[in-house]
Amino acid sequence: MAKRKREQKLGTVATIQSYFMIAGSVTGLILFVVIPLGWIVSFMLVKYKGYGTMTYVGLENFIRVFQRSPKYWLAVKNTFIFAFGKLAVEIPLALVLAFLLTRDIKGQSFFRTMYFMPSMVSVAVIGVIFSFMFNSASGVVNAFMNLFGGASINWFGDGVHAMLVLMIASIWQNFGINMLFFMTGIQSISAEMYEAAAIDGASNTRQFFTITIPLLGPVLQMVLMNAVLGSLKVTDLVLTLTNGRPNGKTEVMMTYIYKYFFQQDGGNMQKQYGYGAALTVVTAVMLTLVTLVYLRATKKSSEIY
Amino acid sequence: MHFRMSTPGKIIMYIFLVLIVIITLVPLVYTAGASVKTNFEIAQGGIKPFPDHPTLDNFKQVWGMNSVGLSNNATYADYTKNSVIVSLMTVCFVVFFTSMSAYCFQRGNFPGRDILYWIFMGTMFVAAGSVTMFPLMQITSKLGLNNRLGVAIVQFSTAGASNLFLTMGYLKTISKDMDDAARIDGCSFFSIWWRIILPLSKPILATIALMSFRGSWNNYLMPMLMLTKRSEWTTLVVAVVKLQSTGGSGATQYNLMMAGTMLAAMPMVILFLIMNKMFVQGITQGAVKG
Repeated sequence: MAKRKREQKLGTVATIQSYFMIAGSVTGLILFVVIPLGWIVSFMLVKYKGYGTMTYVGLENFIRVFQRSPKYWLAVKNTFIFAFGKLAVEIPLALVLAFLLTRDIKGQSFFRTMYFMPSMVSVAVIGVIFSFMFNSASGVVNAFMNLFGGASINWFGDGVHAMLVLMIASIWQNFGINMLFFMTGIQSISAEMYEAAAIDGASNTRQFFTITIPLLGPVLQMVLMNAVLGSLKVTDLVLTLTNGRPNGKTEVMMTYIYKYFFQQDGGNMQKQYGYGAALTVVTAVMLTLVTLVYLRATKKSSEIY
Repeated sequence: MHFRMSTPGKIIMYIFLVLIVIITLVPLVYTAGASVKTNFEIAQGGIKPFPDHPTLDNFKQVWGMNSVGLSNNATYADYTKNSVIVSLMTVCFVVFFTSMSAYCFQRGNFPGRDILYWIFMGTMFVAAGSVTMFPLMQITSKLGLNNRLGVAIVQFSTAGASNLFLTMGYLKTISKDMDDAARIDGCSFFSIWWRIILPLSKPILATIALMSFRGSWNNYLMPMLMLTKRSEWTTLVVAVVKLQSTGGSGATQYNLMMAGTMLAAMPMVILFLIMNKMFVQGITQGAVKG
């Protein structure tokens, strides 16, 4: 590399200064990112309750994950239902809004600001807000349902409704961010394309499907991947909105594992660090597989990175 | 951009756009409304967002109130202060260290540079999510960092890779001729950063500072699990979530809960309305290139 040549002139003093300058970031990374990952890996083969002795159990934790953990796999199923259920609404909505807002319409920046506003609020606080709005006794959602002649629903009483509330809250929070990504992508598509299509008499709907969607390809792929991974890792929202209620029907992967480490479910679950570590590893591998399969399926993604 | 649409089509489009605005605002409006109602008015239900006689008593009460389940004398005023302190410290760490290390990785040429760079980038793709919280908590309490400073350091460290990536992208756009000129004038590697690069990279640093502030203010799990040394260091978001279980009899005091929610949410919403453009830039930069 020709570039490298010029850099080599920097000398020893520069090297020493460099090490001092990166010391802060590198120490932080090793202590709080690399070591915790190593900790998880090193605990996956032991049995430890946080006190007493630690015993080596080999692959026992993994055998338990795959053979005797119906609740974990239920949580995995819930997570995927949550992710794909909400993205089926969120992504098309974001896409359509981005398409409309990149047109020359009045109030563009007003709409953009409004749609993006929910993502300013803490996810945990959003959980509090939605638990208030959907509460069965005095919640405003039931009040509206009564107004239009419907009966009140006990939203957190059964799995389907509770999951629906989680999805609504998450869509509410995230559609604006995805809309922004799409807007940036659409703005990089040449305006002449649309003009040419318009002169040829293509309708807006047709322009959307024949110009916007295909040319947005790489951006769409990247946004989708981030959205899928982000949704599969959902934690805070579930903890503050349903916390797995009712009866584990809205438990997701992250909150399920969390409980083996922090025991916050009224003491129902014991702390089991080894088993929790094994669950973490299995989940991380699963998420990585999702990423790899996704990258494989969408070959073009290398163009964006 | 060229845009042709029939008048009825346009009307339908605007109705759709406005409808989405209304849906977006409903949760915030009802939160604001409930925060100025009495608990009795909230319990009555109904769809009226604001009461006939709004009251600020809820805010006064929450502001001077001690959090349920925390054995300390701190109030929500203190928790707000904690949030501000932790967020500002996080921003300082992020700006200072990210700027320095991005400069070293982009301009420097020290042994081990590429390996370290790939370790940073690699951690961005490890999809462990929030489950490393437990070992993280163990490490920080062993180091005596189970305090506000510790939360700031960890927040800076765990977001390090993506900030580094963003800043390095920006440094590429600053011409290396600047460095060379400064070097000829006798500047060392460090003073080039201090005198040239740091001032020139203000725009990107402002963006990551803003995003880090938002991230820290809104963070829930980390401050909740890490601030174990003294519970009066609890941050606002953590304390607000605790309001969900107010009232010993099990009945939630929704008025206080929603006043707390306003305290936690409004600073960010207002900051966003003021610095709208910068937030939009921060979100889209790096995530979407071209």
